[in-house]
Amino acid sequence: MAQVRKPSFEERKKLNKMYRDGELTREELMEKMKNGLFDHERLKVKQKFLKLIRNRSSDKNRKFK
Amino acid sequence: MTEDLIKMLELLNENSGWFFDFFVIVVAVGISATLLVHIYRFATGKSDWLGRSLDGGDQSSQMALIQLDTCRKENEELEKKVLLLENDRQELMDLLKEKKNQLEQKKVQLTKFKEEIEMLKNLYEELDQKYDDETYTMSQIMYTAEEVAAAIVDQERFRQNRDDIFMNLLDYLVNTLKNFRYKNPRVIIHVKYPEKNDALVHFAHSSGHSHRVKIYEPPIYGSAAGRAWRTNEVYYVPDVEDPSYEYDLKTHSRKVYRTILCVPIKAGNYEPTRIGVLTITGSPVNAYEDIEIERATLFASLLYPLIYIDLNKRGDKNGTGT
Repeated sequence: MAQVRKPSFEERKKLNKMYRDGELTREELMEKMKNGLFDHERLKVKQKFLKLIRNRSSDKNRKFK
Repeated sequence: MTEDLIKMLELLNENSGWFFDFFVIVVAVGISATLLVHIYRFATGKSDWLGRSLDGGDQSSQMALIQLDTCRKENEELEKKVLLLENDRQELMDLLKEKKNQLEQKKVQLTKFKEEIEMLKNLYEELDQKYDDETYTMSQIMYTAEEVAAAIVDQERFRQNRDDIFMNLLDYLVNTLKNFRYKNPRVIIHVKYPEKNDALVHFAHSSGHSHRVKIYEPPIYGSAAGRAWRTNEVYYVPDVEDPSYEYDLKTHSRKVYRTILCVPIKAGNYEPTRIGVLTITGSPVNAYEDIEIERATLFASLLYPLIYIDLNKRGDKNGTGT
């Protein structure tokens, strides 16, 4: 939490407007709105998952070389 | 010379007498014995009719017989070996077939595992997206709570920017609804004024509405919002064109939505605390999932304090539940 900066009221208002006007996709809005908030656990798990997938595919490549 | 020999024989015949006879007998006996021996040998197979010995032929044929016998034995052994090898080959073929079957089974298993891994991967991705969406919703709830608190604390600022603040607050709710471009969600809050018993009155709305949104007053009986107000329960109409739902089908309406969701704004389940209805429209039929309906309910609760205070200040609160 200490490293996460919440967007200010004005920034959020601007982001809402940009999203309504189609200047931001939902994914971009989500990323900018959250800016890492509430996301630590999810990202940790995702990192583990991606590492697992990477290791698995590199093992597979090694096996077939 | 022949004459000499004849003369000598005549001389011997004349002078020898008994010796010549004896000599003839000896020669005759010798010849007979030789003939008998010859016949005997021929009869016993030791010589042929010309008197040639067969002993040397016997040896070679015996050798040939021995060789033949050896060859036969070797042949038998080789045939046995061939038989054994054939059995081995058959066993190996069976083993190969079995291994091939096992390999085939393993391949099928591997394909199944791969599919399962892919399925799990997709499930994880789906779950992660939902988790991502939930954490994002948390952020929107946090900002809503913050801004509600700020509006309660700074009443002057709230009074001056009331419409703008509500628009922003309702936009946070809209942000949590999926497929904004497709669903085109719009939010309106209607409240009950004490002096108006047959209809609800506009209180606030999200961005995207025309100015006419303020004019419409949903009747207590015969509209989706009125139904939610009366029953004090969430009322979801997946298709407003379905006549089985309670919905105020306005003539000459320019409505651009098929779904309507109405959530009573209340403090818990205690009926007298209800102060209004939060309505969300959506362009497609059955626009909202359960999670979105639940989010709308949560936002209605989050906005309750601000609406309650605002109505109290204006003296418009209907706390009777009538």
